[in-house]
Amino acid sequence: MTADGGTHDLGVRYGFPHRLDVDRWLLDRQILDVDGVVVGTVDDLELTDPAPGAAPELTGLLCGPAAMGPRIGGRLGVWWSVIGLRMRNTADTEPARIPVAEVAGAQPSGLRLRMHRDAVGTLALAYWTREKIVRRIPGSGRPSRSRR
Amino acid sequence: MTGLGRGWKRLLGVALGVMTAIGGFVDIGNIVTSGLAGARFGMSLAWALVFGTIGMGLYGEMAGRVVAVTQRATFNLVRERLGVRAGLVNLAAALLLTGLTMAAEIGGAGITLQLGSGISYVIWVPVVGLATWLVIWRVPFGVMERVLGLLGLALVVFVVALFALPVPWQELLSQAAQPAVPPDEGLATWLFFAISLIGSAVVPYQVVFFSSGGVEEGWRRRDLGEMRLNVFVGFPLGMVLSLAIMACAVPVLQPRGVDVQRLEQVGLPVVAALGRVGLLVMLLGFFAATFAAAAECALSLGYSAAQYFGWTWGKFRRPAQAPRFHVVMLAGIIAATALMLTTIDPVQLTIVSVVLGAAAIPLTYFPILVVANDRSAMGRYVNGPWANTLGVVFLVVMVVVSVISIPLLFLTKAGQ
Repeated sequence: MTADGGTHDLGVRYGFPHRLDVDRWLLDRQILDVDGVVVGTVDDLELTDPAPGAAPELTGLLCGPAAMGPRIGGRLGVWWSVIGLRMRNTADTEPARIPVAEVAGAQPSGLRLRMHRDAVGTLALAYWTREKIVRRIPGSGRPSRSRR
Repeated sequence: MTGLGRGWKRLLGVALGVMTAIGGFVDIGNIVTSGLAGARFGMSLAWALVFGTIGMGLYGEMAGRVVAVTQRATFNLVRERLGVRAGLVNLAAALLLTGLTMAAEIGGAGITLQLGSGISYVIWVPVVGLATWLVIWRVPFGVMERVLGLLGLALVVFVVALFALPVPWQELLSQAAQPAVPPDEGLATWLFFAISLIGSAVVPYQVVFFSSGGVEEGWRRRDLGEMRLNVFVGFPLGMVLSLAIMACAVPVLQPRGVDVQRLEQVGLPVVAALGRVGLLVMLLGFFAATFAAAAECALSLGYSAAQYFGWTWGKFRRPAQAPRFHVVMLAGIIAATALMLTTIDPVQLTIVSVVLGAAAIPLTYFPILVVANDRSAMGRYVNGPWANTLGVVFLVVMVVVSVISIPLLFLTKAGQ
């Protein structure tokens, strides 16, 4: 299910601002894992109807091409989803899902999770490019840092 | 260390930052468009450079402030504020333009090496491409920025040459102060070159690079003063170098009717004024400016894509920790080098890419303006009335520029 706006009263439970503007605080924001490493962007939201007629409840954040494709829409969106799914090493066609309970809170640079990045399931392409390309070039493991 | 010693050290650090910003401001776009405009239109287009630099300063400061307060760089904001679809169009445009600009920078560095060595630039292009990648792969961010920025200061040779040449100062000043289309040129061509000069000052990759560089160097609120000094002193002094390139062309190239089509023609006034030594210093400056810009373009490709998609990025990380970021940059460098090896003319490519860059500016700058106005994210560092008034006026003008630039590109056949 796609949510492109609207305000939801989920803030108190998950430590977000009281009333949560989905468009501004969730969609397209960066997601950081428990160590502060970027694991992806909120590409879509999972809303569930708790009971017939009741207001939908935010239950998860969706990431990856399978979530992004439908939001791009049209033929490009379909291509995006299909190619994205081909690049994952599982047969699963669902986008990576982060249960809302795993979100620790919002900080200026993005949403912070309680999970470790490996549990999120958005880094398959990163690992593939690392093993197949980057690691094969000498010097890939050495930092070139000069950070203050 | 004593308090006084620490004070001096800090002052030195600040001065170094400003000098880096001066050298880093100039790239192939500035060199080509300033030389060309000076040779054809005298100083009558100086206003376009001033206008572009003001815009670059305004939005550079805003983007830098957003980074210092929220640690979010430009394409992070683009994705967040424009959403998936408009953000993707923006990303595609940025990658294409930055790729073209990088090809032109690699070509410019290759031609500079040809001028110094006599060996054809086609041989140098892959060498420059490889060197660009090595810098990205191995050299720390601060070292890259400082060394290349300071070497770029060799372009001060154009200012020195200006004082050695028989410059009609009165005439230049009146041309700059009262801009008018020269009698033998059309209005469309004049406006086209005005847009190219604005584009050379505001190229989108520079604000992406500047803001992401702020994240690389870990800017915080306490660094705001230093950042502003770089923007409000460094960028205008960089513009002075561009104006000097333009002014040098007026007494030497304009009277002879030289139509600048090659990079070396831009340097003729320096050779005329200062001879062999001037030539060597100028070649050093050309090389440092174009090579630094090639590395900055490559990094901007990686920054833009990684920030849009939410990938790990940064030169301060090991390549193995930011693999997709490095793969994008590697692919970009290979593509840009390949494009240059087709022997496409780097001067024409530069002109087309700065004009298209000017057209794309509203796409990149609008999200910066929105976030710099977001009190919930920026707190007391939110935009003041001055930044907003000037920022909005600049953006409106750039939207007009954006609308007329593509028709002008075809109408004037890229200014020929």
